[in-house]
Amino acid sequence: MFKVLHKWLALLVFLQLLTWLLTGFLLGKVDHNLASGGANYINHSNTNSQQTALMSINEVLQAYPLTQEIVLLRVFEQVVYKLTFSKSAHAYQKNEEVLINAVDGSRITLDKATAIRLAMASYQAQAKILKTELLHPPIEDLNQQKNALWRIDVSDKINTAIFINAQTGLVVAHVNDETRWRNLLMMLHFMDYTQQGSFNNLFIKSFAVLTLLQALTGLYWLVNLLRAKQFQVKWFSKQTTLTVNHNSGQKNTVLHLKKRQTLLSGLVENDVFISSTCGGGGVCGQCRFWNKKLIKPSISDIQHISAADIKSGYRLACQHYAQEVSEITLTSDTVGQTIK
Amino acid sequence: MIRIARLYHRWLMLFVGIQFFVWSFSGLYMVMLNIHYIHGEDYLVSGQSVLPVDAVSYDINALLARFPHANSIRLGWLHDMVIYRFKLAGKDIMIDASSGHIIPSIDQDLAEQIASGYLHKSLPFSETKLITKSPPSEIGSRNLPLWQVEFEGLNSLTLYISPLSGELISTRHNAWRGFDLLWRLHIMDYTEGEDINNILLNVFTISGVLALLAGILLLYLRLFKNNCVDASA
Repeated sequence: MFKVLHKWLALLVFLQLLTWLLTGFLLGKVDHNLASGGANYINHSNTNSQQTALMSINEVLQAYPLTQEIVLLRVFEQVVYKLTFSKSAHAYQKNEEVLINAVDGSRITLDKATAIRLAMASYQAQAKILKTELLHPPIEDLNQQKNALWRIDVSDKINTAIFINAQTGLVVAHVNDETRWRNLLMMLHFMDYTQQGSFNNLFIKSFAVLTLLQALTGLYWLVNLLRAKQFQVKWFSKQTTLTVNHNSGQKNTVLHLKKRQTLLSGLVENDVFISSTCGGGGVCGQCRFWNKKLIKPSISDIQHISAADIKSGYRLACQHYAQEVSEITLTSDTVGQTIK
Repeated sequence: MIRIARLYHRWLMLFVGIQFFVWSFSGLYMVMLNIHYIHGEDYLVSGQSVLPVDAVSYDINALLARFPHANSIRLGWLHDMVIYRFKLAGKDIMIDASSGHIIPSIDQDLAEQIASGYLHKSLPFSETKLITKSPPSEIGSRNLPLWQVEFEGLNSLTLYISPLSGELISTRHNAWRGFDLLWRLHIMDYTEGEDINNILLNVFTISGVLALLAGILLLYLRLFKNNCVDASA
């Protein structure tokens, strides 16, 4: 039962398993420093050296009664208050923040020229500006972002785009080709085909369940094989002889096999025809032989051969090793026929 | 052919099979639990209260005159008090916005009140201690000292509060701890849990690809070819 499940689950999950392994491997090869902006990205901190008197906090709070937090910042020549009206757990989530002039209290809207200035102040190298645009979510390259951003494209080899929060002027990210490559790998690894920037989606949840089942059936199979001592290395084992009798009238043959070689592989490697469609998984039940010694039957023997035939000495060649027998008989019904 | 495919699939999986199970189990855990829940956001109030209009008697101009070298000045809440926070020569300073007094570092009582204030449902305290050295691995390389405020309950919710700024630095709970452990197992980095390009992971990934390809070949032969294992196999 678990073998059948393992086979059909494999058909469902194999492509995704391959995708997970390959994208996981490639994610390890990504230059994460470069993907986060690399050497061109500098993050400079604010310093206050304020001479003129600022608008008093109480005046600010009277003018903007929904304020939850005030931060004093400097945006080039201007001293500004950043007012927070609502703040989420992450900067990429929806946040309500504005800048006001800290001297006269007037609202500051971040124009194109200031956005470019802020962007270039965070960019170390020399490059021409290709394009500047104000974007609203959803924003390409930054799937999670829920705030309006200025996007400034510069002409460098790695196609850097600089994103500036349109409300606060803060540098949100430097995105370049390495970032985009990482985003693509993560999208595939997380099965985030709708580009939500999340791995909590229904695609990956369903495949994760199927894959766990696949791993469990495989593991169970592995344990069964180990318990049945089916992992034997033939290379260093001694030689033994096996006499193969044919009921079909062919001449008997004597084979020289390794003791720790399955009868199936021994027969196949010596050009003795025996039927099998599963290649030794104990799944198809076709590689039957007869032996008078009544060796201990395996679970697969019992599954595929009737009790009466087991009792009379029939077994599967993929389940037994050359060291267990010295003589076997391939009857006509074991050759080239489908049994059960 | 099918016999060889099965042989390779079997032997390679003997080597990487357990890791396939670990990958799928840890992956399932990580995708099933909402990442915002793992971050602790379900426990925390979103946003803060509005600052009252008359909250500030000690104006920012007085503050700037007193501390001309203050950096990153912010006005916000410390539990039920409105305060200024800023950096002075790299150090965190807190000033009461109504009196202008310096607020000394936060004691256990206040740390617990602050931690409770972040929760939208009140929970009983389990244990609170000040961590000054050898921090638990769950807070990584965050600056010490920190108040570790642990709450009672199955999830052992723990809030880390800075005694210098009174702010919430980290939220940890058992689901996060499970996530962290499984993440390490997923990337096979059992030390720092950060290196997704370690040798062990690469060896297992490449072996995993080979084992998988043998399995895919086996599947193809089983489904689409009526194999007879004979001399040509």
